[in-house]
Amino acid sequence: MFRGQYLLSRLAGIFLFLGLVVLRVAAWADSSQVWLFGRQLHWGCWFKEHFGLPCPTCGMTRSVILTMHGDFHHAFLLNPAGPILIAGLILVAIIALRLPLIGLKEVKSRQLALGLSLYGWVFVSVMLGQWTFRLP
Amino acid sequence: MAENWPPPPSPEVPNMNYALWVDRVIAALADAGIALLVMFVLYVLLFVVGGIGSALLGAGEAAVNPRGEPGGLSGLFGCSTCCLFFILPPVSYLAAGLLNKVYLVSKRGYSVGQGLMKLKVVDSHGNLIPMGTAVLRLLCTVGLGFVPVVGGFLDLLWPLWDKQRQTLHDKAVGTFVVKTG
Repeated sequence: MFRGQYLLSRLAGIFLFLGLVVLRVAAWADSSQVWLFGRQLHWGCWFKEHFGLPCPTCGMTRSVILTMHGDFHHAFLLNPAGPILIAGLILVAIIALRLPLIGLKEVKSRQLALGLSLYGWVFVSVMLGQWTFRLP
Repeated sequence: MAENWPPPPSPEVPNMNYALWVDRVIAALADAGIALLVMFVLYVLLFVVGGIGSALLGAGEAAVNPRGEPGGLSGLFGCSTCCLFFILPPVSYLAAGLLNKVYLVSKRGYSVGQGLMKLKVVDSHGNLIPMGTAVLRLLCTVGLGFVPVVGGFLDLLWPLWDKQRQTLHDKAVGTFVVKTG
């Protein structure tokens, strides 16, 4: 990576961290409702409305926001993929910020590629797995 | 004794004509078009199966959802629910990829899109990759696509700053894409 890419990587890391901070400050949730900038959101799930069954991403918004507020127990109960998503984003942000310091050798980029794709599959497996358990 | 052993093979073969990023993007877009066709077929199948199921369960045209909008069969048109957007693209990419990115690439070295751009997928010695490696390469591509926010972009943009112009899924399995024409 040359200097421009290090700058891009650091900017991406800062952007991701800022996004998470804004989410932490501006959004609030309990186990059934979501507030953004103090206003309650009335989002519905098309799938649930039509079929009466939850979709794989049901509860994700609340789970992500509760994770950001440290309520891991309820976040995990709503959708276990929420904490995994936040953990992944924090990890990617740390890698992006540290890249200019550690550099990226051939071996590390291979590990990064394998690690990220494994994470992607774990994330989706958890999301689909919890969904199948919730189906009646 | 160890000094007499031959050195380990070099990870890269000199004089490989690595494919340009633009060529790879055009090839990827062409391959994505095939996946898009598969997605359309799956979408229609889902509509038909969902519609029949909905009719059998008694949810007809008159069914309304809590917001007072028509539900049942009519609601299945244009189903743009988040999970379909999330699940259909990778499933279609996997289904199309098994033929296009695994079978074709391991048999002749290039997918339909790569064939158009005269590209070839090879290992570090310049040989065709075995089917197992092609499967792993496809799984890594889809896995990276599952990583929220950054995964797909990172994979797509990686050749821009890589010496051997490899994407992340190439890095994962040690493959290279070269220009043949």
